[in-house]
Amino acid sequence: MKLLSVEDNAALTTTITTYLGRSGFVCEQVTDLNQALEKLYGFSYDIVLLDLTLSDGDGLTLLEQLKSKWSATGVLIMSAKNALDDRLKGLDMGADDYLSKPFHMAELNSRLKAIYRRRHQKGAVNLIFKEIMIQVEAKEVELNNIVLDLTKKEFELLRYFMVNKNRLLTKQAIAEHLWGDYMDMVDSFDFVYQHIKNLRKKIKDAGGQDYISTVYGGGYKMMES
Amino acid sequence: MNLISRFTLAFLLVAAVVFVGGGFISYQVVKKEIQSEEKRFLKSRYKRLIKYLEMRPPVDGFVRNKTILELVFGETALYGPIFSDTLIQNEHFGKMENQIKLESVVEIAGQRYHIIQFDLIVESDDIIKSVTKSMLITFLILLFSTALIALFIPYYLLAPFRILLTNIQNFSITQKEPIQFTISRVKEFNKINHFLLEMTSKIISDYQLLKEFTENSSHEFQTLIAIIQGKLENMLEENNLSQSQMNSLIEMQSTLSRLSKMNTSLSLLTKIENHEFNNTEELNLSEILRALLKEYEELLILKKINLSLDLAKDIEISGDRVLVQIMLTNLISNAIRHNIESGKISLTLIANTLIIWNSGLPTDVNPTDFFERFKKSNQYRNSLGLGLSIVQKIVENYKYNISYQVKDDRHILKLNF
Repeated sequence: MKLLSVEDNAALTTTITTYLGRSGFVCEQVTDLNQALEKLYGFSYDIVLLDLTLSDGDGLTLLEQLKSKWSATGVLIMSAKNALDDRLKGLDMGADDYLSKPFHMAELNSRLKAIYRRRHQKGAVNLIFKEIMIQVEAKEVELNNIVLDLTKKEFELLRYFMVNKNRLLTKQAIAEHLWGDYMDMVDSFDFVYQHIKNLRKKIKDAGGQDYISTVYGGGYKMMES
Repeated sequence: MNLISRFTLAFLLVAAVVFVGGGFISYQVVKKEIQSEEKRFLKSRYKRLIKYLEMRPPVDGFVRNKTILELVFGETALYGPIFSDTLIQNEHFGKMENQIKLESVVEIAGQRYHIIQFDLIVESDDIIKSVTKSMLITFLILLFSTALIALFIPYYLLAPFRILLTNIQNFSITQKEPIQFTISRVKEFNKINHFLLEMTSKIISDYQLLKEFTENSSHEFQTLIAIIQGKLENMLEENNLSQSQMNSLIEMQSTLSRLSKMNTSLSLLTKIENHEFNNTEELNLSEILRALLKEYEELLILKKINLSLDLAKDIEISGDRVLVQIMLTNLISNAIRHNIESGKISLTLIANTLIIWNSGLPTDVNPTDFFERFKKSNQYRNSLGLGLSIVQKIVENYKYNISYQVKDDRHILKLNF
């Protein structure tokens, strides 16, 4: 997957590139609108990571051009402006998703993969991890051809683990992915634990292996082995 | 009562006192002058009478021309002339009046006479009458002219002042225009105008700076936090971390998350204070509440909280949609957060009043203090302590009314709007 990051803070892009690089993403970076246009005219990208406040203008103007000239390219807005208006405006203008800063890298990873799947794989491709298969469209999980009966949150949790396989997911990142901002942190850790316990049990009951390992003091990781 | 009427009233009050006092003094002065004139006059008449008596000694006493002459026989002491007050009947009106009288007993050519003379020029109550009358007329003239001036001054002389007042009233900090003024011929007005122009320009630029600062701080800080956050996550991905390194990194992450939330909350507070939300509209509170509670369904189940609802339909509230939602979110999440295991929440919405009560722990803190920033019960160290401050600011912004009561284990929030 090829990304173009349009973000005036180079340090942030570098951090993102390092993290996503491990998932096999190729990420190029520019810091303003002009450079972004130069790159877009010269190369093709799967997704543009777009910051809204740039030194030479509003990121939304680039979004407009992207929609008219490079409509195949996905757009994920990442902005420090958490104003509801900006979020709605961005999505109205055709952005695929909106992430407000600061965000967890695992969350960014998950969202980028979702955009990629929707745009380039028509959403049809299933997520597969060992014997577990997620039919993303149908929101169904099959394990050895048995359909697992998961709650909405358990499904979300499993999907989050699978798109972030072999990565450490902190309880905080999981809680924010599942409940957003409105959950109290201390409470949510118990709920994360509950949900993971239930998920493990359901996979085990269906004859699956427990791939979710607890990293003591850190969080959880889904690993082959 | 406006300034001019106050001035006028005070002036007239002082004037009335001055006129009464002045009238009294004038009366005294005039009366004294008349008395001394009368005495002088009586004396000269007395001298003439003595001369007359010397030349033509009368045979008998007489009463004529305000003079009474009696022949005195026997031993009577000589005295006078002395002056004294007496009541004498007025010749023309038959009225008793206070008069100056001259009296003496003299001996002329061996004959003793008792002489009484008096004179009536002006009666003293006539003096009072005329003094009062003239004072009253003068006062009325003064009253009339003062009223005239009091009417004219505000309309002509104070016109620049009135314009200035209207301009000050219309001044809004969110418009970027300082107060405009016209040049007046009065030095003081120009001074005030100049001062206000400078002051409002300063206020506007300060406001802009503050606004920029909040925008920048919230924006720039969040980007920097995002960098640290990302770097921490990259470090966590490394395989050879020790347990304590891992713990430190995780703790840094959660502290960073608190920092970011605090930044967002504080800049929200500032934005509300700066009146940056001004899309006031009529909102259907009943529907907003129902939609919001749906989002909390799962959380309520997880915390085993029993929710009872009594929401009247189509209750309206006027305010900015975003702010009203933030207010309700904070109130509801507060009721959930500070609840107890298997607790209760009850929501009642009737016309103009929303009552939220939840079970919770008793507290020593005065509940009103929870509206202050960073004030929280010790049991809840992890909350930011800004939720209710934000609610309070929104309540102030729209002039709603909110109260917080704790009765044992019942926390009751009442919002009037």
